[in-house]
Amino acid sequence: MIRKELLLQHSAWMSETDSPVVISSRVRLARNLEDFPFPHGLSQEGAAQVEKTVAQVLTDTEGENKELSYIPLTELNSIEQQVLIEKHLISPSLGGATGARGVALAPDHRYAVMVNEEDHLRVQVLLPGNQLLESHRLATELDDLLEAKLDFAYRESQGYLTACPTNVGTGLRASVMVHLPGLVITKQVQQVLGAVTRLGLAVRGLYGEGSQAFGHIFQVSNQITLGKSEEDILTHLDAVTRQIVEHELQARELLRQQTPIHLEDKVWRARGTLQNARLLSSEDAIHLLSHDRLGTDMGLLPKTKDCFATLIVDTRPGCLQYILDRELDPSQRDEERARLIRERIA
Amino acid sequence: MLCQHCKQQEAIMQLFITENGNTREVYLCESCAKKTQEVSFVFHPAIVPEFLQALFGFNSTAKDQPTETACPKCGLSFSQITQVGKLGCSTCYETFETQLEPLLRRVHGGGQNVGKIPARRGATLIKRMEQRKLKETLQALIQQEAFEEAAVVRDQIRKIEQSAGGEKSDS
Repeated sequence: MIRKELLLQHSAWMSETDSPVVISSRVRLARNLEDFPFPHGLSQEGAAQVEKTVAQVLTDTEGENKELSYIPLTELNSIEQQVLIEKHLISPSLGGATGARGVALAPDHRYAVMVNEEDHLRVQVLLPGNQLLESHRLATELDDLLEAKLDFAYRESQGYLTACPTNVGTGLRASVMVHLPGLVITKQVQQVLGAVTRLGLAVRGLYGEGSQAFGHIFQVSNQITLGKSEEDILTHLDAVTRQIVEHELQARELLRQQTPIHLEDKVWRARGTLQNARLLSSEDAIHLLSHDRLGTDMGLLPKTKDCFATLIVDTRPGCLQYILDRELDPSQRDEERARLIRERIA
Repeated sequence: MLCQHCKQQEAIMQLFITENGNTREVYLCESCAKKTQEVSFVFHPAIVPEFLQALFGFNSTAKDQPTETACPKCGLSFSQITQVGKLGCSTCYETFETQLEPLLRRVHGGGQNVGKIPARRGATLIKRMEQRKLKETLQALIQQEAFEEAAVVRDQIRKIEQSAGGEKSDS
């Protein structure tokens, strides 16, 4: 697959599921090679050697959806790197770094393995909806294949050893991306997510920015990686996620019962603007798409051709320019963003 | 970083406050954050490295008894690790085990690793863990006077002992 085709591929996690609140699930395993210092302490040659060793093993893996293609980040221009960040396939820090580093992608992006990020390997699996257990199963499958050929740094008492002690042990960071417009509109989000942070879980916004302005999307993940088994970590996050979903659905029902006309006005206004606007900023687009999604989820609006996650990602600055294959200044982007949404939401 | 409100406590969370359609961010301590109305709060990963450095800094052992021991593999000292907020290599975990222990306890709550064991490199360890688990089962069965089942478990333990990697049984 040529690079552009691979990067523009519809990522598995962006597919529509029947889950009204959980957009996607992600599992990430941090692993390091025993014989090399952690990435931040590697010389240029050392980093290149790690990249070569790891890329070789990654591209040798076989099995369902495991035909991984390795992309060195040094070969990508800034827009291509931006596309990977906007699709959540690499972290902003991997994009912003220098030196030998990259990402191995499965054809449908369900696997995205970062090389020489904070750790030598970050095995990531991203799936749509609430599929934490399945994501972990897939990540473990690939981890086993890698472990058969690579010597990972590991100690009995501390588990998998990582550059940052916040990841040591299982090296597992599991997260769900949830869409919570009901809780935000009913002003309960602080209360619910505040409770979540007291249960050993971390909460942040989409792309790490502000919350309300960014599509009512939040990411919830585990913080503790040592002293708990993978199963315990995943079960806990899964249970809390189900609670969040429950609260969100109750909030939506409250809106339907108490202010039905305001709710309908909000979602139809969003649909109307998305179908007719000639200029849309990235922030406006996400906000309106969030209300539109709330409307389709609640059966108030007819479904759109493209789904929520795809529209949000494809209208981000990097993806938009990459899809249109030209550089655009911010005002040109607002015009093209509005055009793309009009076409896809019809 | 100090709380931007009381300017006394350490800020532990980043808050996004929306007023008249404009969103601004503030860093607050827990008690000031609780007093703030109408906010949606987000624990921001951007400030994690700062907190991590603070966590390393809190390590009283390292402060009271400064040690210039360098990691034999990567050459970093514990004070250098403290500055970066990251360990240099896997051997650092062994070299600075004592200094790291309180930090790991604060971050993770003090448990030992109970997660996945690498199949190839941890083959011996896996056997030992299996054996430990079986011994616990054996004790429980004996207490319940389920001797027939206990005999089956005892044979399983012996089998592991006979193969390489198992621990010798005390009994």
